Amino acid sequence: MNFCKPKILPVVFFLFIGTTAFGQCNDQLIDTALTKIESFTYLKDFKVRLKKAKKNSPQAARYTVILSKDTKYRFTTTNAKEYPGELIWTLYDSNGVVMSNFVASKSKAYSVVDMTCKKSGRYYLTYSFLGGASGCGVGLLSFRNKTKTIDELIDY
Amino acid sequence: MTFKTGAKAAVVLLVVFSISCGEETPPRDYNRALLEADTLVMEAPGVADESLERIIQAIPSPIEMSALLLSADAEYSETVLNQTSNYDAYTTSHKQALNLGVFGADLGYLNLYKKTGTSLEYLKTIKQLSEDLKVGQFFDFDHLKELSGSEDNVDSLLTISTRNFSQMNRHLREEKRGKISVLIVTGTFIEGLHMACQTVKSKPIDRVKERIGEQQYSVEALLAILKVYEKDARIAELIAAFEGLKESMTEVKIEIIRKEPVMEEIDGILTLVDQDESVVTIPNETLRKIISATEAIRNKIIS
Repeated sequence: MNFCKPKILPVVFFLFIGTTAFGQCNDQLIDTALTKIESFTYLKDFKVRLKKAKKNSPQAARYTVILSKDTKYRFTTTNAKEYPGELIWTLYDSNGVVMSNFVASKSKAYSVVDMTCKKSGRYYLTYSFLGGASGCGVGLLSFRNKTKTIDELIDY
Repeated sequence: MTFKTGAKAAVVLLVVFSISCGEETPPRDYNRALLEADTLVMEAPGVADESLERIIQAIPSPIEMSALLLSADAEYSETVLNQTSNYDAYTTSHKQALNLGVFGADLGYLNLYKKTGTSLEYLKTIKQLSEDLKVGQFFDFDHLKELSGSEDNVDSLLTISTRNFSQMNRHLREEKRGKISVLIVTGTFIEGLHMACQTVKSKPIDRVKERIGEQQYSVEALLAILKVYEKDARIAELIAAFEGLKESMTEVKIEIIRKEPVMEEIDGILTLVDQDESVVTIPNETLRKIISATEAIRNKIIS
């Protein structure tokens, strides 16, 4: 009896935390993500929820996006605080890696990345969590004209 | 006895938990494996249910096309829009879904051109069609109507309405109503292309012509998702029409010039200028064929 009590409590505690965390990993995360796009205009959101990666079997969510030349795109990431994972992404084209929000030399994952696109075409976006951790996050894609925001275009 | 069994289960759970929380160094070839996994997507058009979401996400939002028209000084033209009076003709879910997409693209165009008065009319039709398709709950019409009341709210209006469409499409796919979602996306896409085509007919703007040629990527993606439902005779008809559109685009040449990208950090934001350039060549005859094929598909959809 004495042996059992302290073991049960942490389990119950963790189960409770798990349930609470699940509740946070929802559309509200997109509301938070939207605050980062500033003068850009929302295009798409990518909700990513992944289990912890196993050795040699990375967990990743993959999407195809078609980007247009003369357009500035903003990629943002927002993580659910209740999960350990930090969302990272890599953008590829048919030639290989174009860019990533994770800069290895700085060991830093940028939550806001702007890209000026000069080449229209198919790109491939792969989301995962840093170090293969489990996580829940949202990647948001927004855009603006190369030189003007939507507001500036409208007022022009 | 029961308590002891429970305690054992708790210990097992704790062990499992501590294992799952343990630090594990990602394999050395982690990025390589990700890239390899991604190549599967590059070959995508085999299309299982789970791929539908990914391919649908590939189709560009018509807002980008409308923004291009605006930035290229293309004049607003009400004639490029579908007429809300056509609503009564849309009595099947097939037509309702296609035209919900069409009116969604029209709404974005109207908002960008600050035609907020007219956009209310379109909003009302979108409300009716979405209710007919039992997805009306994804549009906060009162809020959208309120935002339409002022020209200063265009950005919010665009964000909310685009997001509402995205939520609705995701819900439809989750509810195994992916066919309806695919039809909405098809309607949205063709209306965006139609706007661009009608614009270059009256004013040959090079940037818009190029963008029309670039739509071959989207047409391929659309065909991939439509083919999931090719057993539906009406969708088979759409596929044949889009195959015709794809065929009309075969003479579009897209040349890629590769250059090293420039990356820097500005005010904490990682910024990349991808120096790779695409140059699109679209002969006039090809453009004429694309316009003609687009008109034929769009007219069939809205009639």
